[in-house]
Amino acid sequence: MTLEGVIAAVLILSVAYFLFQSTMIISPVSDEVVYVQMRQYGQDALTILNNESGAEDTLQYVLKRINSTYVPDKLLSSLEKLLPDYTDFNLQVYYVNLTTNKIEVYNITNRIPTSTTVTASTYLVIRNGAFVDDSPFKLNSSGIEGPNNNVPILLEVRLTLWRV
Amino acid sequence: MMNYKSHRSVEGKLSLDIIVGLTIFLLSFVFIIQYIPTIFASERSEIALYPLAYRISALLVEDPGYWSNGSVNGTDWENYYSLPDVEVRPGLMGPEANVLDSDKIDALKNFYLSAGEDELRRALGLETPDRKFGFNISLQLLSSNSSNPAYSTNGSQPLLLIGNPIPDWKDVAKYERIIAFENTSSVSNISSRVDTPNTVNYNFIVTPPVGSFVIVILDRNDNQSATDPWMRVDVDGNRVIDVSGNDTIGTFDLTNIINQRSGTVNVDVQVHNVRGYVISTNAGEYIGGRIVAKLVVAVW
Repeated sequence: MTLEGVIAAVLILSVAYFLFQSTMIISPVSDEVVYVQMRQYGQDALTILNNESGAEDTLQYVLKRINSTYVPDKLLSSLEKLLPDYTDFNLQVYYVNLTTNKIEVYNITNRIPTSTTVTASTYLVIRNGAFVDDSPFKLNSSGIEGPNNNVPILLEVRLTLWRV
Repeated sequence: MMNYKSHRSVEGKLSLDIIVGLTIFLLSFVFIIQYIPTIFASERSEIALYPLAYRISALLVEDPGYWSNGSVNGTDWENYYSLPDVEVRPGLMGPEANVLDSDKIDALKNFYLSAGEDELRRALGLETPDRKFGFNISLQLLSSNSSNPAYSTNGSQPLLLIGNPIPDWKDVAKYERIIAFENTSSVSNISSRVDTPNTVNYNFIVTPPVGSFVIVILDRNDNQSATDPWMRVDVDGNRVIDVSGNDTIGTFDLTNIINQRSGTVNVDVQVHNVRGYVISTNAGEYIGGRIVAKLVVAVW
């Protein structure tokens, strides 16, 4: 047994001891904290706007009236007030198209995001009869027996946020 | 033979090079071990603080709170927090998450004033055996920021501002939640009805800046459904709204127009055959049919 061998053994043991004793520190980059807070803003904003008050900037009011010509400017303006100045957003509605049996997306806004985004989402159930006639979410009578006004339609509203 | 003797004479001896090298290495090693944790010191404290700030904000916004005296308990802690031998966990949630109950907001403020900072710190879980965390909890307008905080007020007093001032000399974790007030009229200075089957003038005197000044026309008035409704609004003599028929039904936000002016602002609302109300408040902004502000939790 040489002196070098003893020293090397002590060194290896002390390094191993140091590693096992110390707490593993995974430091979050400050970016991640910002994105957690940003997603929370998005989730809270959707929760606030998902209500039955009948106000023109609520999700319920807008989704019942949406068609190819309707612009929900009050909803978008309220979202801009709710979200901090350093963010931009896209608002999309996911729904099941029963004619094609596929999940489809209706883009309320179609802005170009940056590479890093966070997404918040909320679900709504709206009676089929409450939609305007040319609504993309409205169920056609084919395939459903009897009056379909009371058929519940499930919509997922996704709010994608990014920093500008 | 000579070579063999000289070779034997160095066996088991440590050269000066090795001792110097080993000393430098060990000194560097000890220095690095002591130095590395200080590199992460600030990040490490943030790691501990952000979950605390998040947890408190979630408890306040998504939970109605809890009280117990050992035999009886409930969520209406706002009625029992001042009684002796009652353990309280404050929560502000009203009928649904993110919608705050005004009575619970008042109770939290009074709990802080009567029981003191230490008691509230314990109730919020901000005291561990080896550390007391500082905190500051407030309700602020959506436009508020750290450098220029604007608190939600009712009259001249902040609706909620408890805890110590936020220090600028140490790490502070801040977490914000968007909330709505359950009862609009409890946080509004004016919540007057604009409700007439005839033609009526309503006058409002407002001092900017206001958090929100909104005219909400819900419908035509029930008594004269045949007559077309209309509304004209003047701000300091300037006509800003002139609508009739179905365009009258809706929400009209005058906040920006009023906040662009200074001094006392006169808002004249002339309406015909409508049913609605006017909301003027410094507690927040009128969004989604409710007054909306943000709850800011800072922990250090």
